[in-house]
Amino acid sequence: MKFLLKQRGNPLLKHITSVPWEYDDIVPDYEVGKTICLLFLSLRYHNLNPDYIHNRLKELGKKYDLRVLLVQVDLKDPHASLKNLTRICLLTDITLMLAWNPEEAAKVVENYKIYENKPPDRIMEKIENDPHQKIINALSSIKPVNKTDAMTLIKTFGTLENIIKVSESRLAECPGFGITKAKKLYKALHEPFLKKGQTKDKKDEFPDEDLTLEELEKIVNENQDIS
Amino acid sequence: MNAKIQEDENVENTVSNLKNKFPMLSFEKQIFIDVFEKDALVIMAKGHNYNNIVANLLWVHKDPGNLVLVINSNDNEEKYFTEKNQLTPVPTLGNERERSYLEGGIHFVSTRILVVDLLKNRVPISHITGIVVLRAHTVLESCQEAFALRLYRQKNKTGFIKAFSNSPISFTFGYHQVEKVMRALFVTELFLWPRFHGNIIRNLKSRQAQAEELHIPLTTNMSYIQTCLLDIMNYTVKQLKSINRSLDMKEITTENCITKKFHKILQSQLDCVWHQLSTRTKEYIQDLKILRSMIINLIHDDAVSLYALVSKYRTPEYAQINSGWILLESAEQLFKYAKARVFNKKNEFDPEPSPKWKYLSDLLSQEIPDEVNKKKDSNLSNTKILILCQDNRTCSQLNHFLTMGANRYLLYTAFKREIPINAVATKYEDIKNTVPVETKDKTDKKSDTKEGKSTDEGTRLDDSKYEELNTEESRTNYLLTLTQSSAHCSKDNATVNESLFEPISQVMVVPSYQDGKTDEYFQLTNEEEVQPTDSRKAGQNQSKEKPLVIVDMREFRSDLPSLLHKRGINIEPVTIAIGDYILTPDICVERKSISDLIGSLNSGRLYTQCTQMCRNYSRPILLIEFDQNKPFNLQGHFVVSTDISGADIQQKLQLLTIHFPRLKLVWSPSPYATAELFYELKQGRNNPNIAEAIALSGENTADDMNYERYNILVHDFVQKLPGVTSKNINRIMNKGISLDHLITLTKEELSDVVENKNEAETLYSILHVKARPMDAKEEKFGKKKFTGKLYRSKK
Repeated sequence: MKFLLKQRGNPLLKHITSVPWEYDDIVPDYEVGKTICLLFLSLRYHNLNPDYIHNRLKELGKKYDLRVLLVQVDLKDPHASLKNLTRICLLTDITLMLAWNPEEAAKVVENYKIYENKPPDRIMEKIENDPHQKIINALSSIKPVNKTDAMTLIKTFGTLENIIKVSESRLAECPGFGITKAKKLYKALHEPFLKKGQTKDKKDEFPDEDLTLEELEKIVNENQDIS
Repeated sequence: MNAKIQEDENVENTVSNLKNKFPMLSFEKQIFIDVFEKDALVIMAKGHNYNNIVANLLWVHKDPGNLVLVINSNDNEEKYFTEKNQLTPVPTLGNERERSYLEGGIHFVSTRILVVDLLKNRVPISHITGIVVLRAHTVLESCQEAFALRLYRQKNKTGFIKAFSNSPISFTFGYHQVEKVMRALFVTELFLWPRFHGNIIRNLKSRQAQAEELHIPLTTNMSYIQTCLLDIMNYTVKQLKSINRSLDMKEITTENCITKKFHKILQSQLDCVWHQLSTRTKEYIQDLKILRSMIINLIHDDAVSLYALVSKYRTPEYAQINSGWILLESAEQLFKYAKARVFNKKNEFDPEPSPKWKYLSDLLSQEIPDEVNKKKDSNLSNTKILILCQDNRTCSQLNHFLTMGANRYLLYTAFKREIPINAVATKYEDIKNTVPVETKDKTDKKSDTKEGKSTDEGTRLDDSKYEELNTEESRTNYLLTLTQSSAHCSKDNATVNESLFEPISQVMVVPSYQDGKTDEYFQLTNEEEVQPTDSRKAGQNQSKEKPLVIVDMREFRSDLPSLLHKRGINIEPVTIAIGDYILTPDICVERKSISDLIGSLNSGRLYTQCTQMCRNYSRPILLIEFDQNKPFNLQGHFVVSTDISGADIQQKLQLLTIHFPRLKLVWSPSPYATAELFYELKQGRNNPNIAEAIALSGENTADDMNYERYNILVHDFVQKLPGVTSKNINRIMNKGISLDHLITLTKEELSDVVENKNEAETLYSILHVKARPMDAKEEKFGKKKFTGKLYRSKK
């Protein structure tokens, strides 16, 4: 994990204990792997230097897959500033995370390092481990097919291979299946994996945002004038 | 169509015309007159009800030329009034309701449905003659009624609003409840009718019965048991509070635990933070429920039933999920005394009868006949005695007692509850070995058993409610009521009533615009907003239409829709499959309270919701809304109970952001702030398209979405197959081409695609080998997990 030199002196650093880190010359404040980065902002500092974050964001642009703005809430009445920052994050495609003290902020940074490559299993629905059950779940994930239908299919055709090979009309003949259900099931099973126009290699494109950074500047300035 | 009947006519005439319809006592007539002329809130004492008054009010307005809506009634009330006034129920389909509104008359509508109908313009608002709000004390619990009345008053300045309540105690919680309720109801008049109101005392005095109160003491064993139970409850409540210091638990005291309102108190306090509580907290709550049932059982049921109940919890299985009270000394005592009430020292079955039984049988067999015989003109066989009980169980218990006798009934109960009996005491020698037959009939039996005494008179065991008795035309000579009075509450009823009404009747200033009949009220709350034209924004899409937000029907339980409306944003209630609020064609918002956030992160539901949002909208937002009643600096801690940490949730939330980088997080301190934010987000952007939002379901991705590389139906299917993990799914999708292709691959070729031998093997076998269902899962012993809510909310 890499930290920006400028972050030296941030009390947050004292509390990072579970992951190794080093200073480096990077654009954001914290870089986790190649895909995640964080910018740190104290609300108190933001109130005194409202332009600061806007400049940092401009610098950062669209680099990294996940850009996080880690805000330390150290004001008694944070709502107005938070609202302002929320709006900026929404407009510039940044994820906002809150921390209430340096320890918590450190935890946030650590967590991103720990979880950077982990699969989302912890937050997904718990799945059965029984393979038979799994097939039933998989088949019933295709909308008009329910669990009973799935069991019928397995009983009639035996293996998944057979179910995939069978024709649409044969499917429609199964008890509980009509033309529409068979059609939907057949279509789903025979869809190519990749959508049309996609190549094997993952592209690194992001769709255009409908706001340029100049327009963002204007909006941010407007807010400063008003607040 | 808006003919207000008898506007100028003398109200007295109306009242006298009604004499034949639903007779009212003279104080009721006074209330009727008061409320007929003005928009008002009427609060009556607990024992009285407003049924007659409302029935007459409805009857007066029952005419196709009028449209009167009645909201916030409970099921019983709705049934009662519908029968009395011969009304037809409202249809379930929206279009049909629109027609029936146009037909006029009186309609009972649920508030939530009325709000939706008002928003969708299904109700001819300007033609509404008036709205009647029942159970007005519940109005502040949700904001639905206030919202409905706001929508009504904005466009209709002449129709009436009349509200009724007979629960004065509900107005004493919190601050300025009465003012708040009146403001929400748009009424400016308040009528208080406590029990000690002059009119009421005058009316009822003539029919005042001679009342005699008998206080029946508990037996010694019963007192011991009660002490033990209170002790245990005290302990549990203390433990509960110690791990939930930041929660307002003022209302959860040992005294309250015994009252009927306890589950309501719990629900209101804890429901909204349910997922922020630790498992241990939930165990304590569960045990409080159990202990409460024991205390109630002690007082109302017989010794054998209590013993059966208590024994249920003396098992090793329960000990595992118990929160700790089982280990207390008081618990041991509890079991000891409960048993002592049923088995004597020789371990013979020798139950002690309920103390009130003796009194009851004495009354019935000696005292009342003595009194009747003293009077010259009354005949014993003509005397009617009505016994009022709290519930069906008590009725059936007394029924059995009176027909079977105490001992036989207790023996019968023991058999029913499967209590093992090895020997019986000597008093049972006379009872024959047959199973006693239940006699549901109330015919008189002349059996002369030693213990049990049956009655000669015709006893009617009725479970009619207290309130109904006032209006029934029954002519009974004697009324016996069995009520519970706990050893701790010995308040005098009269003083309780007086003190309830005191806080309400202090000086209250009501602004003149509160009735909403002038637009002054609506202007004060920033209703009409003029869109500022800004030359700098000329380049963007500036919609000239009024801002519109699509709101999922299920969100109407919360405050936010009505706040949005107040902010000047139009709301369209729709059932949408994805998201809770659609602000623009691109922005979809999923709203979560902290408790919901935790619940759905743990269950996996949030992941699914985010998947769908990200597939269908270019700007998905996860809105996390804090509890505005808690200080903001405590919000940093996700959880409420101090014996668990929120670190787990923090990690899961961050994991979510890693897997959904396009998902934006918004942290809002309150629904008010959220409404503000929504307003700002919509600035300069198009309104969402309703048809498109409805059309989006989980199955399809919006056509112009480029965010998914894979066809989602087959992707989701493959994802669920054994051998496929979140790590290899992308590889399989990228190189697998399609299912048809996948099944042609050999094990080795599949291995190459998956890049993991074991997983490939599993996948291969599942594709090509017949799968057999596993045997039924083994029983798992261990701690019960509390995932669902303790009480299902009724909404």
